Amino acid sequence: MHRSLHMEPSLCTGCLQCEMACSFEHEGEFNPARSRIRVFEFEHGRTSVPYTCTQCVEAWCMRACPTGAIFIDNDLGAKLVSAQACVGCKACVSACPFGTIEFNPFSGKVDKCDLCGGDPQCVKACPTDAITYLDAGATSVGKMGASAEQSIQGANS
Amino acid sequence: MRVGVKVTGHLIDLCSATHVDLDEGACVDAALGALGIPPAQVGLVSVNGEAVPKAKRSEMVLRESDEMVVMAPLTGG
Amino acid sequence: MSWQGKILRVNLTSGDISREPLNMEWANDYIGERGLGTKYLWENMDPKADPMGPDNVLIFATGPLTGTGASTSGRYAVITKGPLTGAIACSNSGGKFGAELKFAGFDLLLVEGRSEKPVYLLIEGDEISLQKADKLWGKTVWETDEWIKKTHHNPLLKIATIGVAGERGVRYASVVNDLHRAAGRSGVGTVMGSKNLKAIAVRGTQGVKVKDPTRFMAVTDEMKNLLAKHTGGLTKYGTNAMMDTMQEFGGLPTRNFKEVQFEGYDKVDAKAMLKTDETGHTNLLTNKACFGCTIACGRIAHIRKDHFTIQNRKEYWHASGGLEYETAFAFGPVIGVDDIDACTFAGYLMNEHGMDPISFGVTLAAAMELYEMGVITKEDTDGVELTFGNPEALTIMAEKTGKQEGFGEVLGLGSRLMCEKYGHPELSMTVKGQEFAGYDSRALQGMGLGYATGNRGACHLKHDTFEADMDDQTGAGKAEPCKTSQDWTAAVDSSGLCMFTMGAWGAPEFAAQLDADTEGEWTAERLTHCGERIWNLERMFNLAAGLTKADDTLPPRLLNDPAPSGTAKGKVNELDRMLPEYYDLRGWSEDGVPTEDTLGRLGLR
Repeated sequence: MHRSLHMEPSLCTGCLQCEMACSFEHEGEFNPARSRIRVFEFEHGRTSVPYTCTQCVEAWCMRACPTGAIFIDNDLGAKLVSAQACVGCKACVSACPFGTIEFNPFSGKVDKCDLCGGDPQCVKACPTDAITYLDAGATSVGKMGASAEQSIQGANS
Repeated sequence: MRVGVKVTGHLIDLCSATHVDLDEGACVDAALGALGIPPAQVGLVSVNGEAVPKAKRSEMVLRESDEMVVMAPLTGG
Repeated sequence: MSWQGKILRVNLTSGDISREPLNMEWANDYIGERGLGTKYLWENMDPKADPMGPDNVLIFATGPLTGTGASTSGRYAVITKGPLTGAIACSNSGGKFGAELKFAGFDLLLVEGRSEKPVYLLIEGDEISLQKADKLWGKTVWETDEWIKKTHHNPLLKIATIGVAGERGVRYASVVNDLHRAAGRSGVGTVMGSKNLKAIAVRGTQGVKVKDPTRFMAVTDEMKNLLAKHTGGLTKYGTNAMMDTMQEFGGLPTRNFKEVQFEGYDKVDAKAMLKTDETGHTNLLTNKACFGCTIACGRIAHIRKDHFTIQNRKEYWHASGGLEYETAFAFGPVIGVDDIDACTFAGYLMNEHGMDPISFGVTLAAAMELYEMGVITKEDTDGVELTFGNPEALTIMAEKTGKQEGFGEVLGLGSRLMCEKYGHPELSMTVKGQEFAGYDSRALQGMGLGYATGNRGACHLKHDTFEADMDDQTGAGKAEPCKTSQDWTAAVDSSGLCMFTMGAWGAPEFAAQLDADTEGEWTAERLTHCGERIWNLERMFNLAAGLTKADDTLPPRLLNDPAPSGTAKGKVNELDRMLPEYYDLRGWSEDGVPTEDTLGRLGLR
């Protein structure tokens, strides 16, 4: 089953445990600046929104890469970066419409979400289930169910 | 007999009762039991505005129309 | 290890910026944050120095766990000599600024001297500079935050700044970081303003490594689970869940501590914040976390648009930091106000102008008492009816104080100086010049002892005697829990983690996390011993600054006037009984001075 990361901003408290788990997994240290997932704040701090790569099927980054360094993990659906092939040209950074692939000045390569090999650490670290790892074909089921419930409100009261 | 009940702080999530019916001679501990509030989660109980220290909860006998307040522990902040 | 191993020293007089190795011996003896900052202060200034002068030193210190994946790891402390008290000031804050300082590669920032002209400190990785702040001087906290990010095209900067209150010498000005988290108490923002330092903006990209990563992840995971079991109430209700408990207990200071219960408490408590009113408005919008925090007790609220405070001021129609227990107490019971929107607005103003809500509210309470006594009149108060219960008096005076206009200049002095000015020092609800928090020490006896002996003046956060105080309302047996918890809290405040975890984590839980985090063998015993060392060094600073046993006292109202109602009805604080026992337990002389033996035992000789 293909899974994808699902973000629910209304549940996010902005604690950044996801950023720390991500950087710890990939860099062995706590460093939000090197996290592949980031939390943004809006409305004077009222809303916090976690955001990362959505693993596009027709991935702009992959198409833009001149060295073929970005490839698909067929099991996960993740787009991965080969550190050996990446030359740090940043064509993918320019191509990605979402800003979710970033140049790493320390390694000279690009970083992006790799779904942690199928066990995303951000999901594990999130204390409020604002980030979940769901069936890629059913990420909207929760929202759909809530709407369905709304449609019967009043009918049985 | 019936005793008036008020709970404070987050204990409201454990118990929203406004009164409790008890056997005659019941003590504060029995009332907490009947209300389903674990004694360890209680900061202080007062009866008719008077504090009942922890050690006295099993001795303090309640009477009809007593007003019992179950206070959450204080944690600072 | 989780230290970056470097501190940043900035001399504002000369403009010199230098990096120094972190003194690891001190880190081992004083843990970090509050303790380490105290040691650096002690070694870098004369305690007799004028707190508002160039010889005062201002320190921003992180702890060994700041910036790690442990829960609540966003804490930092500001340590300096305080302008309210003339004693050591130590104010702790969350948000994201503290962790960012660590990520910039610095465990501690030490600011000395005084700049000729307003400046702000910009730390963007390796590039560190003092920038002209003439365009920022006079701007609010919120404007400053926006201006700096925009000017440097860097939305990732984390900013700690003062508002106009700090520039213009309000004695209890705060340092506000990340818009609505604050090192709120003891006038640390006033010191920053006196140095002509408007703000510190930081962006860091260096990670924090821990000593034993595998063990660290395992133990911090376990600790997060434990925390989740104990802190659900804080997440849902915030600290203001305490208000109805204080009301029932009879320890809720009301109308400048004349009373201990407030009839309007349920209009400003946690439940009132959650209640939807007849217009469909709910005060509380959501809860918010500081860096790394899995509790998320922070409140985000909004004000009714038709409320008198903001109906013609659209700039306040947005969400912002909501009421915590202390702000609710300081804008509610202690001044007799029960208008939740006015209280929330006053909270916005505190963050916007950079002021301590507790000191402001309790100073206003004394002014209201002076007004009702006829000592001051409308002529003094710019025509404002300064009566208890008047929400307009609250919001008008909060703004006037923040901007230092009219009677706001008097309120900016703090309660002690203001009451002395009008010839009624007995009305000042302070210890060592710092205002009380929302706990009356006639009902909470150990709290009274903690207030009286508090190194930064009256403070509810430097000891934890709540359990003993609730169970017994006399002075008996309070010295021991007061002393022990003062030492323990000093250790917690030095770790980089938040004291709101203390309901779930004791010394062994802190030690387990610290031991996996940083070098050296960290045990519960060692932590507590370090805490005692920190408490005593703070005391030594105060003694050297000229404070004496006479400063370890409470206002006559709490010692002489019995509590008029509540579970402690008829009681006064029994400080006379507790204080000698406390000095003895501390290993201090009858005059409150640490003995040679005590200093030797703590390695302070």
